[in-house]
Amino acid sequence: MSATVPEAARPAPGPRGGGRSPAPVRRAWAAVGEAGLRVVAIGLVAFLALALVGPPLWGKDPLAVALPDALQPPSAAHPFGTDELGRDVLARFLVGARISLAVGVCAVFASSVVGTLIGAFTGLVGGVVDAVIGRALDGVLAFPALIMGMALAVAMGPGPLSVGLAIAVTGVPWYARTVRSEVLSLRSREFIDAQRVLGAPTGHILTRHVLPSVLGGVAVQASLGIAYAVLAIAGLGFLGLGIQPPTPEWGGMITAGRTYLISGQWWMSIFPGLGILALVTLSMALGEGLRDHLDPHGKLRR
Amino acid sequence: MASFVARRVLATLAVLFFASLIAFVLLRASPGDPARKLLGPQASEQAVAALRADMGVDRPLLEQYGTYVADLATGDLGYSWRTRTTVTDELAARLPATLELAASAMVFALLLAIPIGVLSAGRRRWVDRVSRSAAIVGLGMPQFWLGLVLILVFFTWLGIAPAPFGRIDDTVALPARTTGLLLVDSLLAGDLAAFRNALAHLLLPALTLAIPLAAYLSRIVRRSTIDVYRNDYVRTARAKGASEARVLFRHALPNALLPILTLSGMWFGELMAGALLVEAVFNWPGIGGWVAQSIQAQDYAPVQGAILLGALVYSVVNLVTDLLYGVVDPRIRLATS
Amino acid sequence: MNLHGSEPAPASAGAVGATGRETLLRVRGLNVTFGPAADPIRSVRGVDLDVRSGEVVALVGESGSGKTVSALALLGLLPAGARVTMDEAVLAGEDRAAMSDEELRLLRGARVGTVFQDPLSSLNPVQRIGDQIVEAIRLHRRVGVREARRLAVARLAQVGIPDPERRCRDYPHQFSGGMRQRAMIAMALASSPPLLIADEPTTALDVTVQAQILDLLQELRRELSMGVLLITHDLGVVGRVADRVVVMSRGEVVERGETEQILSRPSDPYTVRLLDSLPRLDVAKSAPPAAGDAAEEIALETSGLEVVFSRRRGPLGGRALGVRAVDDVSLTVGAGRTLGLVGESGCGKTTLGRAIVQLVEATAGHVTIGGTRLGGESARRLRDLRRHFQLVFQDPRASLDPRQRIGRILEEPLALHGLCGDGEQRRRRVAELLELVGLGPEFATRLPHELSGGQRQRIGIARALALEPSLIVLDESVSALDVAIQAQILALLERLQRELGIAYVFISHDLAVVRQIADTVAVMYLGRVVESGPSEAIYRGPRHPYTAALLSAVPVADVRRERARERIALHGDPPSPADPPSGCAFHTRCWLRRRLDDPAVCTTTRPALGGRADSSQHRAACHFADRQAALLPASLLGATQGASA
Repeated sequence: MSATVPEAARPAPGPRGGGRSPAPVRRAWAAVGEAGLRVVAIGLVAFLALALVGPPLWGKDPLAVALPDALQPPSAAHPFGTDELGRDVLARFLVGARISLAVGVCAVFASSVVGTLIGAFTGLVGGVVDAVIGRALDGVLAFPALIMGMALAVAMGPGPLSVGLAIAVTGVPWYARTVRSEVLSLRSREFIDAQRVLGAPTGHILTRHVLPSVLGGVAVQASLGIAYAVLAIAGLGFLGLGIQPPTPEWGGMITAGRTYLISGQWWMSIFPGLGILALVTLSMALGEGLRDHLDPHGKLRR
Repeated sequence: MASFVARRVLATLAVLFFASLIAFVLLRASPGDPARKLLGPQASEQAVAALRADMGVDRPLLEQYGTYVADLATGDLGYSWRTRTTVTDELAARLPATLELAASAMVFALLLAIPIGVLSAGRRRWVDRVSRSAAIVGLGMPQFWLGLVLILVFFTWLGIAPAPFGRIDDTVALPARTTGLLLVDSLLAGDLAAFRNALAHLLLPALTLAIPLAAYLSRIVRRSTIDVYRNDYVRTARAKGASEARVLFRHALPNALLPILTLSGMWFGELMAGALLVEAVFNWPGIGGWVAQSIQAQDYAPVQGAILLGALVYSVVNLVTDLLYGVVDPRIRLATS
Repeated sequence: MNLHGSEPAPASAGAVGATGRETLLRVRGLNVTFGPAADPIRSVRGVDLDVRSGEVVALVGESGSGKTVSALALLGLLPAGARVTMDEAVLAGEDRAAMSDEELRLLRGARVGTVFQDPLSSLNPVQRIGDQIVEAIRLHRRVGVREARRLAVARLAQVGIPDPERRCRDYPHQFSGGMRQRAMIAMALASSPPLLIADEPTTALDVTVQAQILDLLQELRRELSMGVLLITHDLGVVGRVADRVVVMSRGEVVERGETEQILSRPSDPYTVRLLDSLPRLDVAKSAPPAAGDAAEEIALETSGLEVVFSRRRGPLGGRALGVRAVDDVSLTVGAGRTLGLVGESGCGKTTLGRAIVQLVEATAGHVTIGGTRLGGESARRLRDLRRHFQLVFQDPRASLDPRQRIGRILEEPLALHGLCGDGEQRRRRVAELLELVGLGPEFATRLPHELSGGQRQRIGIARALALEPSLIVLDESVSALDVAIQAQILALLERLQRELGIAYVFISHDLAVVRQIADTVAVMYLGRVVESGPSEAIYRGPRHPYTAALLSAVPVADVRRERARERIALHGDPPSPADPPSGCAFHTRCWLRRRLDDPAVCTTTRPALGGRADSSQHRAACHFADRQAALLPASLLGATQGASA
């Protein structure tokens, strides 16, 4: 549904003339949907750009220790101030954005692929296999990402790998559940029966009719998953179980600034926190917006 | 109903089985030698081997899993070499602090979420816009950071909150321990000064824990309230002459709050995980802080104990809500009897 | 309600509404608008309505005509955003126009009772039936819970719910459809309101259950002297119970008057068209084909077809339950002919249709289509064979992939079967298919949700036609459509059959529609065919008591004939197919058996589908099929033969 056409439920509008084959950019733009969703998309792209080109543009070394400059409040030279070792907080913030995004996106990608496959498989097969795998996934659900990350950090040593793995593993049941329920509801939908009556092979039904419907739900879940991942990365970093210093990671930066915060040197902890807040908020808004965009009832609701 | 309960209990046991399996695989089957970790790098090879035999870690994995489950069944969660106590005792001693924090956070969250959710389901759109933005921000804040911000504002800058160390000031005498919950114990002892002090200490951490949860739950309540109001039986109630208040409290709200119940296993899990962080921020003497210290010391029996406790709580909460759901919704209760 | 609940015609419909009756509802100039003030959607425009005590006024119209909106507006039950104005309104003796929201609320339930279409969704699923009625009572009367409960039980008894003491502790999902609607009526009656507004109260119900509910409404109207505003799309129901009719179209009243006058001498062109498109029990297929000869080609043959759904109870196993949805069904359909498959919900007609097109697997028996016996072939071969038999679903919205454009939907079967070569040829074929079902080529670029219900169903038919099948199963394919659209689709189906020689299996609960399109008819009850034969023979002289009861229950839009009819009333709902009665499955509800003083053979021996010596085509599964004709009310046959006979 083109976003330029008002959403009013008008009966049987005519075929959309003119711009039926827009440029790829325009098509992507239309797919992004409503105005709110577009703002969110712009914000996320800006964030991505910041993480990619921010560090070289700002140019300061996030690891360069300069004890004389320690604990300086925000200034023109150091917009985000300096930390207890005199490192530039803005430089560290920008690299931290890279790390959160990289680990988060990788973990979410892995768990969405695995979860989608498991969910589709159990939804299609059903029966005992579905029940056993379902209970196993419930078992995984009993571990929030933070707890799983804790266990993995103890088991295999803290680092990006254990953090990513924890997020990926705990994410799998969510995707599996989403996909499974979507597959189950599709299985009872008549248009799938209609395909069978027409003589469509199972593979055709899966790729042409089931998969496109399922991917919407996965996309929503993945946007929320990124938000959740960023929070978990920071939480583990805060506990000292995430990506280890001196690598600048937002959670770790907050911990390091914690003792100074109580005595009033707030900038070390506050800025990374605002970074997390912005990234999580944007991903979550993307997820909510996508959900409403994909849900025909949601559209009429507002 | 009996078969419904039996099936739910069986399913819960299955989940617990998988959870214990995961915890076992994570912590016992991981690389590294636990005996070596325990004894330290200076210990002799013989001593390490002896301890390995003593701990049973030289036996086949399957057999190890068997003894591990057998120990679990008797409530034996192992021994913390760092604090020289059994994990069970330590958990029991620290549980009330965590429970007090989590329970108050839950109450705060529900008190915030239900009215906000119902109001934003209403006709005034600006209420929904504001609460929607607030909810997204509330969910987006990392909890430990929110705690730090609250400390910065209310302790460092405004000076109206007590120092973020523990449940009660050292200068205040502890009330006699009956439940372990300071608020309850101080009230039972009639010690208002202790009560006020404990409450002041509890307020910020509980709010820190409650805000993201309230943000999440308010959206759930809003969505389900809207859905319930679309049902034909709401129109029937109005056609009977029921007032809007009656429609809300008697017909809509009981059904609209069901999703909170069904999702409570999930959000309770998040609450526990959040408590881990918030306890660390406020130096709260609960399970979370202890686990955090144990991790740093590579003392994994407490970690494993806490993980299993978390899984147990999660499963039991899920079981209870499933059973409650059966009680609340006759379609489920009667379809299976 | 007695067995032959013959309804005396309400004392000369013309005299009703004369002076001496209290005016319960009087509205002048009712307007309802939705949407922005700049570009409003005017749903109801200047509607006038009157209802007096003791009379039934029917508000008739197609979907979207504004009839329900009008009633909800009067009750103050429209969602926020609707703007309601009226010049003058008296509701239950009080000035509606001057009323505050609170006063209107106190009026609802106390002075105006309301019954809605779908009783399952209209009852609160998590409250007991009794509690919901108690609430309705205590909202308007200061009585204790115990007293209110006693009143609730009395109300349930009044609306004909057996064992009300016990049933009042049940939840809505434990009631059958007809019982739920009775409970809704009991709730509406809780405070003995003088006025009852019933919005499509029987639309969701089976025809035999509909007959019971209509009887109940008549009875209440007579005994309590209530005024009833009956909102319905069904002119048969109108002919049956209404004293006066108000016809609405596009938000306006187009015609009003006495029922008899409107139904027999309509003056407004819209009403005329509505009545013309109404399928009639007494009008047979417009162009009946030449009498079948023995050499006729067979398009479909089923023999001993059986479908048993086994339902395991939970993961722990337990006793496996089998539901015999289709039981020993043998049918034939000649090439280019139509078989009408008739029955109430749950009789297995849909499952039979799905078994014919190999969507569900038959557990016994077999299906032969165009001389090819199906079953046991490879999946690949079956996919190829599917070209020859297609299915059109009831709900075209659900059976079209919402994200595919119409062109893609129609091309897909061609691509799947490698027909029509390349893209250009296929596009031509799509345009051809669209033209065949009366749509323009521009529809190819639209999405299903941009189409109206009738247009969507045309697409469903076009998709089935794409493969040039010899047989199409139509599963309630016109049931959800308004009568005018329904008539168009039926005409389309007849034209396609004449032009392309396709055979149809036409599944429907609507006996009038079946009469219009079918050459032969099979009547199903609890999974079995109880009567089959040429359409004319069955409609003129049913040989099974169930068929007779069905025909008798269908209300017809002809006041004189409808009210002169002596009706056969069936009690209760059809039994569960999971646990069918012994012997003849119909014996628990059979009126003929009672007339014959309950012969034991009905409960012990299942009757075979047998024919009379003189007409082997017309067969019925009843031990006493030959004795029925003498006991049938003569007026029943009058309704099905009519002028065309």
